[in-house]
Amino acid sequence: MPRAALAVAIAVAAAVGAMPVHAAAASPKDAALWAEAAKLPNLWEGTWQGETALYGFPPPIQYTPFGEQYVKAYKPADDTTLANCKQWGMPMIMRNAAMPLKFFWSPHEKMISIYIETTAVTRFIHMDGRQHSEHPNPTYFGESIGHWEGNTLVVDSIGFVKETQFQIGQATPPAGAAPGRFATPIFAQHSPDLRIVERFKMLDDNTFELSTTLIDPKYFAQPYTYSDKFYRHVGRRSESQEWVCSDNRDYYDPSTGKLEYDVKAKAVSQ
Amino acid sequence: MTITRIRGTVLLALCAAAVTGPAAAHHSFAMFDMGKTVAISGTVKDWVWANPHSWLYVTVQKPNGTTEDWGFEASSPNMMIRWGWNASDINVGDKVTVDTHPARDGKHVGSVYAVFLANGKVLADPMGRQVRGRELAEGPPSLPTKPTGTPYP
Repeated sequence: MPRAALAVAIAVAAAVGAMPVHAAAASPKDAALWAEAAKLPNLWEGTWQGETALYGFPPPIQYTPFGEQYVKAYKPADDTTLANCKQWGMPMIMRNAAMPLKFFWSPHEKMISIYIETTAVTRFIHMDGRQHSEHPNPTYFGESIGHWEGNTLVVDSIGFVKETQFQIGQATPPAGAAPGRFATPIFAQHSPDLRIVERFKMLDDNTFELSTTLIDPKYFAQPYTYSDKFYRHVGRRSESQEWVCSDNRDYYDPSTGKLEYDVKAKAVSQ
Repeated sequence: MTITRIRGTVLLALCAAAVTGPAAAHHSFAMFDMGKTVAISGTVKDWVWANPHSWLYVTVQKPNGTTEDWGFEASSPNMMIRWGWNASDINVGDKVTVDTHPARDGKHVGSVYAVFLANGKVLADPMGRQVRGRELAEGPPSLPTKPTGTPYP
């Protein structure tokens, strides 16, 4: 390298080496936001493993006449349209507790994000005092607005896409079903008016109870509520992981209601 | 902060009502005979470590000299990692025995209950088990030391 160029290179390197590694300390505004965040219930540490009754839907359920009729006429399939890597959406995504949740607080936006490892999706809960949109754009997880009532996070969600189904009841397992067969859920296409209210209540430092209230006047004459518990785990084993539906080999045929296994050619991946 | 791991048959009994096997629940498992366990031994033909399910394919040597390929469906790698699995535990060509719930219709497909490796390591899968949610996070409540299924072939 020519001498002049070398001298310049050394001078630049020295200048870069002298620059501080970190930017200036957080502004007073940022420091105040994070200090305020420290007062919130600790949803942020570790991940939350659900102890959910995935398809538990105990009585009493007050259906509309339409709901009653729907339930009577319902024919359970081997599986649901939840197969084929279709996104479950709300409310079902919160009940598949195969993998844990992780909560994040964004103090500038006053927003809680929930990473749901089963299907690797994120819900955004706005805590900035906004009101619901008159015409929310349809989404899989809804327009979610939350606030704290003491140690309970209350979230109100509306505006769900048409495509998702939700559970409205339980069918009796058919005669001769294998022993230990899980409760057979009754799924339905929710109405555009579906509203979901969730209450995340801290029971102790490492447990919360999630009560989910379904309000859908097409099926339910009175709102229906079910509850699930979630337990905190910390440590590397429990860290959130990615989840990409890259190699699905099962295929649910909606026309036959049958689930076929190990049929990679037919199965849907992402 | 302490996180307490609670064990004991009394608590399990109390929790029985809450046990719906979330690991299994997005599947109906009607396809697999959950009441039957078969111990299938063979050589690994393929090992697919992927979501939504890992798949273990094993070539079985029949006594009459023919071979038969089996496909075993396991859980999500995410769940398996929490139960002690690593993708590198299994390689094509390995000799393995799989405790499986086989397909009811006679297809050479089953669910993975446990895999017994030649090096003595045992890997249990939550797939199809009635486990509590916390057991998914904390690891298998117990590990078998040897296959429990009816040997096949």
